Amino acid sequence: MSDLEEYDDGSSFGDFLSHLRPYPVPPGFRFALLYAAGGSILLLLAGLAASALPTSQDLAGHLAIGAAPVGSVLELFRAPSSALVFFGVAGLMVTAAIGIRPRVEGAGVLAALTTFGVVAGVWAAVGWLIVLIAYLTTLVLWLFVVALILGAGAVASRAEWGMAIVMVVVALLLASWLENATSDPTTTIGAARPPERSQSVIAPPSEEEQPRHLPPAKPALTQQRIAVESFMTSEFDAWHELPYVPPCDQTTRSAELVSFRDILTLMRQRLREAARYDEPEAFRQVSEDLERVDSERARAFTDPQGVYEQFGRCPSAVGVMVFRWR
Amino acid sequence: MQTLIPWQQPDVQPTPALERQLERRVLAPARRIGENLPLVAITEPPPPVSILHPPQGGTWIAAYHDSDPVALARGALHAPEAEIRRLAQLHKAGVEPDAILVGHQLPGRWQPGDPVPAAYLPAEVATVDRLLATQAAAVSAGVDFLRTLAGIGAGLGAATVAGVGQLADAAVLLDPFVLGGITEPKTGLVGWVFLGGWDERP
Repeated sequence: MSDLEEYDDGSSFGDFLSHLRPYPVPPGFRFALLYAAGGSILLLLAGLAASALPTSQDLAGHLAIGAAPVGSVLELFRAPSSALVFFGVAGLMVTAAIGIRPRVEGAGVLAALTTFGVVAGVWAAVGWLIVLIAYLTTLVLWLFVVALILGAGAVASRAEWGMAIVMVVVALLLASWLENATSDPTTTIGAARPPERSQSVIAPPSEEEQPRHLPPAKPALTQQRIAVESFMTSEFDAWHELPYVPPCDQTTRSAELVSFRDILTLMRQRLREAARYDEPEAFRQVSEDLERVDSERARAFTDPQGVYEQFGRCPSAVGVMVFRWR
Repeated sequence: MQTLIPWQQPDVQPTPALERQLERRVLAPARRIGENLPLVAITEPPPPVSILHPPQGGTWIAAYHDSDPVALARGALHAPEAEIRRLAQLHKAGVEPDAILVGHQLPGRWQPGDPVPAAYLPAEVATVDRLLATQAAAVSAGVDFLRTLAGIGAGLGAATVAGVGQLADAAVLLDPFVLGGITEPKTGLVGWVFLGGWDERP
């Protein structure tokens, strides 16, 4: 350490200091750097892999069973993805900094980066393994259907018609259930339950871009419009929480929600025009329809089966509105 | 850091003259930069190289800095950068001992003329080797984990045992130390002040 030679002033202490040297960096340090760089890259890749894990919504259309719980577990695995990416990038920078000026004191950081990289890699791998297992489970169920049908054929060839029919019926029931389960993004086996808001496949009504060169809206009506639009949004959200019970199914529900969204979009456009051209009547119409929708939802929420039995149709936001939105 | 100095004579008290010298040349300058250096021993002037083999095993070597056999074998006395900076600050503050005594602890029995064990030359090689071993163990544990995901217990158990074993190894520390000595002219006794020390891992 050349800068210590200045302490060689003839004293014992100075002489001692001039002979002190920092621990040299041994050749093996390069491998430690390589390991740490690998660990950092692994952190980065693990973060990206974790962020790409499917959500409950992604799984709902493909898994016959367990989409919701698997989605919840995957949420846990996906949670640290941003942090992993951040630490991966930071780790690469730290490794580069230590590599530029090698110091034994940096060894602990290098070891930590390597270890965390491996842990992160295992973390992401386990997450994807869960996805694989979930998909394989559904695949196995479908294969079971195929096996049942083939088995029915084999049994029928021996003229055991009863058994063949039973097997075909079981296969069809299982296939029907699988088809229904994988096409229903919000329900699980045998249970109709309200989906989480974040799982909705129906996008909320979008804000329309305001046309240019239009007269300015009246402030009072603008305030009223904002209030009504807020009500629309909350009502649309609330309909997602509505439980659907047989015979109403997800197909009916999805179509109904899409229609509702489209009508809300038309309502928004109408309200903006009405606010500009001072047409309070439009506000009254929209408010009346929304009140009907709200009442229908409240009734369907408490007694969904009763609504169907009384009106012969599934609970519907669109169905209770006066027909003027198309 | 608690380092047992094998030459310590706790029953010997410094004379007022030695106390004054210690205060003026070592303790007071160190206090000015916030260092409270402890007086750890008062001894007869030691030989240039002292070697002790304590009953619990290992070897202690204490030598004046210019005759330290370990430093001579290694070509220099190696210390952590932070410790070098600290010692340099003490020197700059005016700490001026008559002699510097360097102590080394070696595992196993060592005699003058024996080579300094290659594994300790330099000691930080062992640190990096250990680091590499830790990194390799981490990578291996990760691979094992993925390989034996179905039998999760075996892979993790083996990795844990290996890791604990390495930690146990790492817990064996060697303690180099540096003492600054002030000699009292009348009695010839030397008061030794602990200037610094650190750990080495075999």
